[in-house]
Amino acid sequence: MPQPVAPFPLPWAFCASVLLAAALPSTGLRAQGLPAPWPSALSAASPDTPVPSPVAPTVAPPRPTLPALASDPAQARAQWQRANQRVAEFPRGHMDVLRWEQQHTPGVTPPTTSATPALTLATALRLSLRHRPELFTQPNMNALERAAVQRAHIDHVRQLQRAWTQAIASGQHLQLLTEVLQAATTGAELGERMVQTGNWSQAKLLREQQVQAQAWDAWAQAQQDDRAARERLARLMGEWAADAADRLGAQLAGQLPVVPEALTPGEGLCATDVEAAVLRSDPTLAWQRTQTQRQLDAVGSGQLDAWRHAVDAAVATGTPHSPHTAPDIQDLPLLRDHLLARAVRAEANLLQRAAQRRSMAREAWAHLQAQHARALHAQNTVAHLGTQLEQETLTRYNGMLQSTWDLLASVRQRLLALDAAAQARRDYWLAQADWQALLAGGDYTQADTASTRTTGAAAAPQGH
Amino acid sequence: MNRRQLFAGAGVGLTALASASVSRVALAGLPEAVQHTSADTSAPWLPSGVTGAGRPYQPVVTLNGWTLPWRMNNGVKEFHLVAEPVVREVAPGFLVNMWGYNGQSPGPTIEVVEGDRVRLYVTNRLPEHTTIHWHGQRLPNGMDGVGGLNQPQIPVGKTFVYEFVARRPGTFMYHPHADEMTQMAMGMMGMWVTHPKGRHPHIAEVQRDYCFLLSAYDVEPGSMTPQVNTMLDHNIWTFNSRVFPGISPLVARLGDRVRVRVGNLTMTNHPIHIHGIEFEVTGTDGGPVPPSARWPEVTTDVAVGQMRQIEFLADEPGDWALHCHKSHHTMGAMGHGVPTMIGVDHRGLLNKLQRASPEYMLMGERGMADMGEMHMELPPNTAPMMTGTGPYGPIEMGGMFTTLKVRADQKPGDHRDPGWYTLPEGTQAREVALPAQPGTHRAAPAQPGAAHGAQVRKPQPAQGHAHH
Repeated sequence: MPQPVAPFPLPWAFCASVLLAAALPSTGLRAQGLPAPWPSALSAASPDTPVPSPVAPTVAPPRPTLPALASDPAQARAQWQRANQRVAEFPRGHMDVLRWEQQHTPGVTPPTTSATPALTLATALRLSLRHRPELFTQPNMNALERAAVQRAHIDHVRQLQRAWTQAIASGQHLQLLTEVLQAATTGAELGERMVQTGNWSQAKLLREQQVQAQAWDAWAQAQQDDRAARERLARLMGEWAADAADRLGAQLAGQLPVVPEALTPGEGLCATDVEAAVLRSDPTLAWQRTQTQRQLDAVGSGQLDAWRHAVDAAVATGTPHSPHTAPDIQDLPLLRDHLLARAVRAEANLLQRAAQRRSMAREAWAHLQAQHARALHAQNTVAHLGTQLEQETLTRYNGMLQSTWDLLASVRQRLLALDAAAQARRDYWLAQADWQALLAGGDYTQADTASTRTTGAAAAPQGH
Repeated sequence: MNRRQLFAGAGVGLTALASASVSRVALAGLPEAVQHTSADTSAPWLPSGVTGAGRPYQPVVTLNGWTLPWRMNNGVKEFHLVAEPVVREVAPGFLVNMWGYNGQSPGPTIEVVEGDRVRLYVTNRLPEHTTIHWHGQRLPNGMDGVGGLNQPQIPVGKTFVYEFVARRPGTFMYHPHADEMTQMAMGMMGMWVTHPKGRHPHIAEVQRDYCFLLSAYDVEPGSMTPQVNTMLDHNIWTFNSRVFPGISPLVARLGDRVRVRVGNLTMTNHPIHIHGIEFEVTGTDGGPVPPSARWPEVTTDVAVGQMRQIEFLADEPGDWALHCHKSHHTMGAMGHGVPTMIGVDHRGLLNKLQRASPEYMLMGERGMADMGEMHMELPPNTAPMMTGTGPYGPIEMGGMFTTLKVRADQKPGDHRDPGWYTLPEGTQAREVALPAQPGTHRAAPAQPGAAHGAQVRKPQPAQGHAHH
């Protein structure tokens, strides 16, 4: 059961509450069950600090073996009779084997659910700000300095949100691929017994062993991705100890928050307000616009027109014939008008900034909508189909219309469908982090969105 | 037990069609197209009064089927067959979309007397054209029913008429000869019985007369319509489009002479076997077999397109199995690709399998007998592979399996199931109590065998192959 996670609140109110919380004395933090001790930077920097040995559970790669057929008739008879005797030891079949297993398999302790509440995003953010003094505003800052700190803080929040999302998603991906590996291993083990008894050829067993081998490879990659994601989160939070990443794994929720049915750009916003909201949130755009207006007013409209004519003329004559040569303006009086130059530069910068903000708004909002649709589709349809198909295969197994291996293959397909849903949900929350950063005044970069689709989406084994 | 829905032949379906060539006046002249809605065995139909050339006959009982009534019209027996889509209950809980006649597959049995003039109206309510071929009969070439060769096919919505004389006594079949493979794969077929007009040297009097057709379908579990492109890999094997345990038993009074007529319109042969008695093949669809040419059998192989008529004296009381001897034909649908699990020890793997699929249950490691008793969730509309319960345990059958029940007290003409046979004391295979041996699970011996003078031999330790 995943721990409940509060939905991401409005950017401005969120940041305000974080700043407020950071100003509270540490007793307030302890009261919320957080690790109270302030991490020691001096211990972190000392090579002599002891490092506890990692306790990561691991699965050894499979070592497939091929049992040989009995060739000697007497040996074959003994083996075949013994095989029949062994199954006859359980005259009621399934119930008797279950009872035998309960008596002979060492008790598996169920995983202890941790008593501490899950690490929420808000808590992670609070912890991460402890060692980031440059992200705090102070009274002696002017508006530009304040805006710069604001931008840096928004970028940090976005990075933390993404790292937290990735860490949970990688953990879930690892959990699902672990189950896929278990199913593949069971198929291969049962297949070995089939060959030992003489009911299967080695060729059939080899196919199951191939599936198992591919499943282990995907699992190993997922395990590494999970470790890396938790390390990244630990780094951002200032957790330096060797077991910090492991502890994080235990503290994080088992899955990401549920994707809301309906998507709105933000509180009080609708789809047509998107560009306006992103323009308004830019900390310096309004000031820049005012400045540009002043500088344009200081220059006569005649000069502006002259400049525009000169630009068009230079581009029309030069560029079509030799596009690599920079266009040239010769009009010296025009060029020496410093007020004009200043106004032209300001106008150009303002246009670039405003166009960028609007374009980022459209792109980020479209990306968020697309990820939202994909996440809902994956959980409502793709995962659902995988589950239904496994149910159908089970009824066919019950009627001896399909084999145990067909059933295990459908189990693997269901798990991969659930994995697709989990990764789509992760993509949605990553898109949300980017969108909220943009809405808060930060920038939106293309590079970040492309990279998310490759990490953690390692090719999963396709069973047959 | 007849439940017949009589509906006017000029009624519902036909009025919707272009009635240019079939006017209401003409339709009013057709005999009623009688519909049959049940898969139970109907009582044989014997009209009162004139049956043919003056001689009454022992009417046939069609297993899980019925006989088509006719009306006499100026000395001609008139029948009305309607070729139409039907839904057949192949077993309780197992419905199959088929094409058939007059509400069911197979179509009704047509029963006449040698020398009868017959007129058969065939109305086509299928979505494509059809014909009817009267398998084995001597008749004018234009009535033989091969579409394109002997007649234009019967178009959708139209009614054709076939007229001929039932010249030969015997057992015949009828089936489409237009898009033949598809229409037969969808279940279109029926039996035809012509009784001799007088005493026939090669056709005996019998007290019980049964008929059924063999048909086979490929119905994917969870679906309802047969796959018509399957050439040979069928999975539903039927007597008259019914499977065990839905096939009616053949009942007889001790001492009855019994005739069974079996026609084969599947795509493979079926060795039909009866327990407890021997029989003779007394006729084929080529005609009655002279007594000097008959030979004894307990199993008669009916090839594709053949009919075998067998007769025997029901002089052994009891419940005798009657079935196709191809053992996969006495099973419901199975997965041909499921490997043998016999002898494969699963201990230590069950918890892992249940972790993968919580409702998984172990099956097949000691054989398949458990399947005859287990009631697990199957795909919808799927008959179990092996099922049926007898008085002494599960019968573990499906498909082409039924029983011949011979009773001393079965009333003549009563075809109802008399229930299970009560075995006389001491005539049943029973356990012999032996002293407990290492490796066996037997209780202390009680010596029941000794009561009848049987010796209870002490078992010798196994000596390899010495005492075989």
